[in-house]
Amino acid sequence: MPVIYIDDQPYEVAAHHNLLHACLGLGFDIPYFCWHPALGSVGACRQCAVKVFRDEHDRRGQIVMSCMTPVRDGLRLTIDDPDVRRFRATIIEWLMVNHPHDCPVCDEGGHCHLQDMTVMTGHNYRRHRFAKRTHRNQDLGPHIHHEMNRCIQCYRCVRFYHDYAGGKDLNVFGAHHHVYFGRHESGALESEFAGNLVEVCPTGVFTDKPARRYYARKWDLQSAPSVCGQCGVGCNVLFNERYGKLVRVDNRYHYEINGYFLCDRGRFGHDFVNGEERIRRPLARESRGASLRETSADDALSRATQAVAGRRVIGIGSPRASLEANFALRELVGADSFYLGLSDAEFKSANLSLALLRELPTASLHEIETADAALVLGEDLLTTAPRMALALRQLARRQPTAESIVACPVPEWNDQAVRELVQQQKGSLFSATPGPTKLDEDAAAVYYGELDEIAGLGLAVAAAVDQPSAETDSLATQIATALRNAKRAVIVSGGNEAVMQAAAAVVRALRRAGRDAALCLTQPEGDTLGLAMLGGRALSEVVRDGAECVIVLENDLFARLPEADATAFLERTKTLIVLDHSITRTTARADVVLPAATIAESTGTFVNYEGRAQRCFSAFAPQPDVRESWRWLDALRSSLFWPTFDDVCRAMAQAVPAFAKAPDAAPSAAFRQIGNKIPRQSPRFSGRTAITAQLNVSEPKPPDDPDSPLAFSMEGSREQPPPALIARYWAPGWNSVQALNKFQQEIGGPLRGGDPGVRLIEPEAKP
Amino acid sequence: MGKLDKFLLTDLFKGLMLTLKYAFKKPITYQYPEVRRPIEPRYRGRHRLTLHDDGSVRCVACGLCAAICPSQCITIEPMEGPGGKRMPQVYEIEIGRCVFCGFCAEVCPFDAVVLTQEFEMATTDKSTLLFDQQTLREKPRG
Ligand code: SF4
Ligand code: SF4
Ligand code: FES
Repeated sequence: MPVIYIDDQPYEVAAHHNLLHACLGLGFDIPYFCWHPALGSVGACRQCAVKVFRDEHDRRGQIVMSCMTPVRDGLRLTIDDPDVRRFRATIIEWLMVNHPHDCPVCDEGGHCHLQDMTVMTGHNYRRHRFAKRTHRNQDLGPHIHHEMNRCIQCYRCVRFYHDYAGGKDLNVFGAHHHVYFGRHESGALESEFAGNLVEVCPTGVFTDKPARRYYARKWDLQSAPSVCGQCGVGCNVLFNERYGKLVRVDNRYHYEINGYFLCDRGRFGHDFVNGEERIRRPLARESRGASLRETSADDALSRATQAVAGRRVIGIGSPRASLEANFALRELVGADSFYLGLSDAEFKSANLSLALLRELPTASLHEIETADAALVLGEDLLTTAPRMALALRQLARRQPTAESIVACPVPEWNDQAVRELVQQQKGSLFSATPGPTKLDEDAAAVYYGELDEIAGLGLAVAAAVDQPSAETDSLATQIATALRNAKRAVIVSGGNEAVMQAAAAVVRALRRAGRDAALCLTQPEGDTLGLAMLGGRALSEVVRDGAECVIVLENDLFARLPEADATAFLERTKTLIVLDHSITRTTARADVVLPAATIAESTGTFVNYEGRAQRCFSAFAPQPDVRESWRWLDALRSSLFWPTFDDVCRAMAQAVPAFAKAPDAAPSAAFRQIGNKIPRQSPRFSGRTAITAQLNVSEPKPPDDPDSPLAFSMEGSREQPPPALIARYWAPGWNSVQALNKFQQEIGGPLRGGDPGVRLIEPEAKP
Repeated sequence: MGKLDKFLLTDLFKGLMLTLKYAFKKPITYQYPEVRRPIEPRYRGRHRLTLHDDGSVRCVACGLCAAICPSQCITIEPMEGPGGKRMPQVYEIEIGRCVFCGFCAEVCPFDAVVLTQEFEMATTDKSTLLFDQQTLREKPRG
């Protein structure tokens, strides 16, 4: 590894980085704007200046942009030199000439990279006394708020939206000091990844529109690490709360899964937590025909317990509930009476996925991004697993780069140069889908056909992998050749059984040929795979069997069964007990409704498409009558078995061998850091003694959290917590999300202490 | 102290002398509340939210005062006022917890919150010590 000298001190750094990346990684603070670990360098902002010396005798040095300077052995530089310091302060002052200085009313205030960098450079008084250039803002739809005057022309937005994510409708317009970042006209942003602009833009130009309504500063938010339950990818998120409302959802970095970016469904799709449809009090009805009325928790529980006692009770689980909730239901009703709440098609595909994952290795999103070839069979990923589509796009962009830079050695991080070099070349990404998808433009070849035709193509590819032939005109042989030539290949599929089997056949063929190949199967919901691992009977059987008393866990039967079947089944049911967080057609027919906590208010484990168990923690304590489903279900039993989350999780690990490792997904509630719990609130959390003063001047005791090592408080450990417990990114001088740099082993690499979660499935075929 | 001093009660007489001396001096006690003590110009008392000429609050509810407050006794809920202006919907100070450090006034970018010289806030009911926006807008007494 090359050694560089910073202020005459030697440091070992990785050779393939630029100087900025290397210095930040060593813990030095250099201000920067346009560089982003996932987007590379373009040298647009001139903020990251350092002074480089020719040799140890050179005292004059030369100012260079560290983000555009490759690391080389023996490089000597200084970061803290009066000349460069003045240079950087001038650059900031120059950027601020047209900046409106409106931090007090800006939604980015408090987690703004521009604020941090301005303070870091020491520019604190403005000398500019003239008119500023102003822009007209655009209405960018329901998710993103636009405030163009705050722009500092770093180009990050376009480089993410247009280059990285492939969005077509946001670009840069104008010239000189009139550069404008936006759409050609007002209108909702079309990309599925537009929400990332909020985090990518270092200023308050793009802000989270739904979160704006709450006007909460970052330091006032109570947050907890969690996972997104909107699809099977299991991206890591942070839920942020203030005044009992979910304010915003932020990306939580996970090297193997979502990295720096989320899809909009994850970021903006959790509004049901604050929704009008939420069930906040237990409901019960006197008799069939009477209407549902609010009742006390005790009353609802006693009704439910009576209904359950001595009867044959069946339980219907849910792929959107946590593993623990499903397990608690299974324990309550017995394994024989536990039905997976999946539609027929979902049931088959989930079980097949499980079987295939036990046989063949799978790949994380990071492994997809860095693979050399990929084939998508039958899935429109932008609707079923959007973040995976973004990963595949990176594969398609990265792979020609890797080939081109061998011939013309420019560093991979030199974004502009690399794009110049690669032009329109596409990587070995192949897609076969029933209709056009947004991923098509990144694919080297596309095939449209019915699902059975797609399965046929998959089998043809498998056959062509087995028997490479000379003729290359057929699509199957073209794909097979590309897959065979790849060092690592990924086959993505899901949904349809025949197509999944075909995908597995391709992987088997590649492995027979000695290639490293992995199979990725999308899952429709947050815990579909976990539910399949828990095991249970198909929902269609329940319709046939019928039962006197049915408990439905966080599920809407009308969404899983044909209308007539669902109605007939519910007619025959004498007592229907439903646990859910929002009103559905099933809760409307229930006799007892128990209000369940949403994912943002509960502790639980979810299993993603790779079979990785991940823990979610409650960001805020639910209202008194709202409880986690596993708590309700435990209360329905004759005596309480599981007072805390760890009890239910451990019981599950013992009872179900597949989940033996599930408790390791995150530290248990007993975990303490230097004797303290990890605070969910920032040290600057405001108004603590005043928020409830209108009710009682004595400050109430914060809610206890027996379920996790996190505390509903600002008091607790100030150390950097273990990766599964990171509740916010903050470091001294770094208030924006970019504080993340301080949490990684190497910038853009895994988190310190390893990325959270455990893989529960060991494939027979070793990768 | 010598035995003699003890015997002669020297200290006692010293004290009595002092009392006698002050008996002929002008009293320094203020007959509060009839007579009010002058307040030092930089004295920090109850807060006030300052207003624009048109009577609207200057505060834009940025939250800096609430963040810097060491006793965390300020709470602000912002809202969008007329013309899209950001302003506080709720601005409350739990004055019973306030330590009158003046950080809030120091940090405010708009001089929207200031500490007046009013100090008479004694009450028998602690719950009246929660000052809302209306109370804080009022000019101090005296
Ligand atoms: S809008 Fe934001 S990301 Fe885009 S150039 Fe301006 S400051 Fe940079
Ligand atoms: S610092 Fe000033 S403007 Fe900001 S919230 Fe406090 S009083 Fe209002
Ligand atoms: S970060 Fe180096 S020029 Fe912008």
